[in-house]
Amino acid sequence: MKKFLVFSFYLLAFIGCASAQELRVRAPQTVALGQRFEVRYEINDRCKDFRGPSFKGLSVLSGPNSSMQTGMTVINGQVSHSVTSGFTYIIQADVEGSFEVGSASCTVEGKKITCPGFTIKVEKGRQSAAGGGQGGGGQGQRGYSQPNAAQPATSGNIDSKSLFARASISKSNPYQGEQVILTYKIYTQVSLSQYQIDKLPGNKGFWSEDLTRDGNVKTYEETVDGRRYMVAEIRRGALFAQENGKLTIQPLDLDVLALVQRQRQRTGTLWDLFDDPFFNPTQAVEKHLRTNSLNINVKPLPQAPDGFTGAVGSFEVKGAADPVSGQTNTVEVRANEAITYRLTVTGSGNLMLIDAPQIKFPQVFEVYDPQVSDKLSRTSGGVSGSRTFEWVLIPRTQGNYEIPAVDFHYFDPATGRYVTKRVEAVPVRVNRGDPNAMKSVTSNKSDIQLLNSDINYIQTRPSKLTRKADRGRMPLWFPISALVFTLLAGVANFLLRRRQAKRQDVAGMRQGRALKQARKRLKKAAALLPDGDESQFYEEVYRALWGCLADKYNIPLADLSSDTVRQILTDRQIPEEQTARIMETLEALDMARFAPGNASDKMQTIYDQALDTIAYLN
Amino acid sequence: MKKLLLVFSFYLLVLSGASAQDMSLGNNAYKAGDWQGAIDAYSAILDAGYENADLYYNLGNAYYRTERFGMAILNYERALLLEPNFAEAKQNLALANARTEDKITPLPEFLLARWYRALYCALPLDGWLVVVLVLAVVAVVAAGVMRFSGDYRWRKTGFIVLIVMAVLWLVSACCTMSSAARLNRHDRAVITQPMVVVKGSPDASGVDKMVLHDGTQLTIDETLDGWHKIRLADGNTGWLPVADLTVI
Repeated sequence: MKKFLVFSFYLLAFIGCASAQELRVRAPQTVALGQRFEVRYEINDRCKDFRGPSFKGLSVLSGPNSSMQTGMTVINGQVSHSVTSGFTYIIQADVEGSFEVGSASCTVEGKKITCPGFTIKVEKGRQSAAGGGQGGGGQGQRGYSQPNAAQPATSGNIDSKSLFARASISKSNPYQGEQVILTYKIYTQVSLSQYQIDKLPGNKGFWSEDLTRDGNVKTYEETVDGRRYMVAEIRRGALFAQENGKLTIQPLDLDVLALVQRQRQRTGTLWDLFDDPFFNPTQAVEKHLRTNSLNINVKPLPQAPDGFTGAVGSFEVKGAADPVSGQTNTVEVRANEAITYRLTVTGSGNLMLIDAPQIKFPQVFEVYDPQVSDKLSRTSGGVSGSRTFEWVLIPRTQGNYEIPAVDFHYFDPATGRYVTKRVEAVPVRVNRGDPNAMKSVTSNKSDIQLLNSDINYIQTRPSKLTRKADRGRMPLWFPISALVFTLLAGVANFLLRRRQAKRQDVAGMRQGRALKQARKRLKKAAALLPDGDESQFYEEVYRALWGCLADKYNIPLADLSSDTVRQILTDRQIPEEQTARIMETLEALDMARFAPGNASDKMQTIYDQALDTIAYLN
Repeated sequence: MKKLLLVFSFYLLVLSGASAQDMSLGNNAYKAGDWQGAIDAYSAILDAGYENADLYYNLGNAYYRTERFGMAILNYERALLLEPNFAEAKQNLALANARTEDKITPLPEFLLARWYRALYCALPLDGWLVVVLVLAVVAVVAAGVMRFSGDYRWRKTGFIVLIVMAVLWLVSACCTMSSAARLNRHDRAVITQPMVVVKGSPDASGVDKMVLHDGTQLTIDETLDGWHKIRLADGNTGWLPVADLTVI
């Protein structure tokens, strides 16, 4: 790296020291604020253990840098050697005022030599460039990196008309969010060796993107107000206003080193030898420049359509989803597998500030927040490229769905209107998920056991098919059976009642029995008739007749006698004739029974009589 | 007497409406592993207007094999509607329910209600009709014995039997009516679509209340304008379009 050794004028303060070896200091008495200057200690001997002073209140940019020079002079044949040791500091004053620089010392051949301190006054510098004011601290961009740089001096050689810096904006009344280009240029009629930006303006209310290409400074010629300048574009940025109304772009401060034609100055020292214009025709002069501030009038955007996500510029939109099945060329997945949907916005404008559009995905999708990735290029024309939003979607159920169409709105500042670009809907086919995956996680224990079992086999037994329309209707057999049974019950009831009633009618029963019994007995008697067993025969006839009478007239056995019979017959109004005949029969019977020795024809007679009586009675 | 019995049984046969169709076509397809063929064959019988608990059960099995669990559940439920004590259908239904996506914890049911439901579901409707008839016959006979019997002991027995039969008859009459009502109720349904959205009100722009999947069972509380008001087993309610569910 070439070192620039530059000479400049400075006021010398020679502080003498008495002894032959003296440590002398060379420093200016007064310096300008922000100006760099050199403080140099010299001694005509080799020395070591140099102790520098404290430069309180001043910034030591570099130092101490030691140097040694030896020389030989021949004067009138006498050869003498000289040695000079030098220690140099580069100092910059940041604050105004008066500063005490302490003493310095070094050791020569064991003896300590000191140089007392001195005072430096720091004053506000004289007018240097258009716009006034001084530059600030030494941060920011540099044209060339130079720690041991120029010896400064504000020079009246360069006036504000020959060298100035200007800021310009591509559009002074942009829309909010519109991309505008801010350029900083140096206009000069003199040669410049380097420049350094002191302070970058913080552009309040703007989002800025730096477009400066490091290394290549664009230079061209331009005529302004009849004067021809060399223009160097030192900084370029894209600004996007984030508020509307009046915004100001603050001025930029920078220092430049201009090379001017040298004026020879004699200092009367050895340095003059090197001061020949031949070697150094130019002299570097530092100048502080400040650009103009810019007033921007930001227009607010008109009423935005629904779903506007802040895009200002000119864009194209594309949507695509993965995975695409090769056979059908549509998006096809199984349930619980992921789909990625990518929406890409390409164009120029405030890409970095565009928000993801809200997409109402079908309910069945589980949607994850979109990831944003940018591919931007920053050129001298501004910021352009693409921004991609990527959603991960997981469908939980099978079916045919579609990712809905997306309307992307952006504001075109060239036309002053909103433009809508539509991304078409994407059909998605979701097939049944892998049944082995993930099901058991959501089940409870009994379900897990069931999942491992299989269903029972189909029924193959012969079965009757019924009509669907008959379902729930009363089957015919029911009312019919009920009816039949009711009829049977009724009939049975009727019959049983009758029987019961008859049973209860004892007298009636006896009466019914009477004839039957009598007949039976007579039959028996008749059977005995031919055999001639008298006693038995009469016994039967007796039983038949008396039994018949008793049953018919309901005479209790105890009361059975002729008189009772006669009484009852009379009561019953049986005609007297019949009554007499009946009594006669009874008597004859009694006699026949108890008086033996009857003839067989008597039996027959009695029999007939009894028969007649019984027949008559019934 | 024998002749009468013959005539009677023939008349019963005619009344029962035995059809010419049978399930052998579907059963053979199922045995061969042709699930879709079995589904088609069984469905053809249903379309012709005939049904049977076994038919629904077999159809449910075929749907289960093709992993259409919602349709399987629907058919198992239909089989159980006709034959509430169909053990295999109940088991397969439990398996199909284990395969559904929505796991709903049902509200606890009143104990007596559960017992009564178990009772009237113990027999199909025809079974209850037989029971009612038989009990009535026995009761009447007992009454007759009580009324007309000569023996005092028989009368006492008759009286007790009559009382017991009367009570039983009352219970079985209630069961018969409940069983009939259950058949005709048509208020239970199953979701057979992969996914439906239940709304808070009966219109498509209503707020989404919940999302249900294939196989979930619900009860229909009321119907309005082509929408059903549904209730889940855990008590949650909402509205669904009529087309989104299938009534058991």
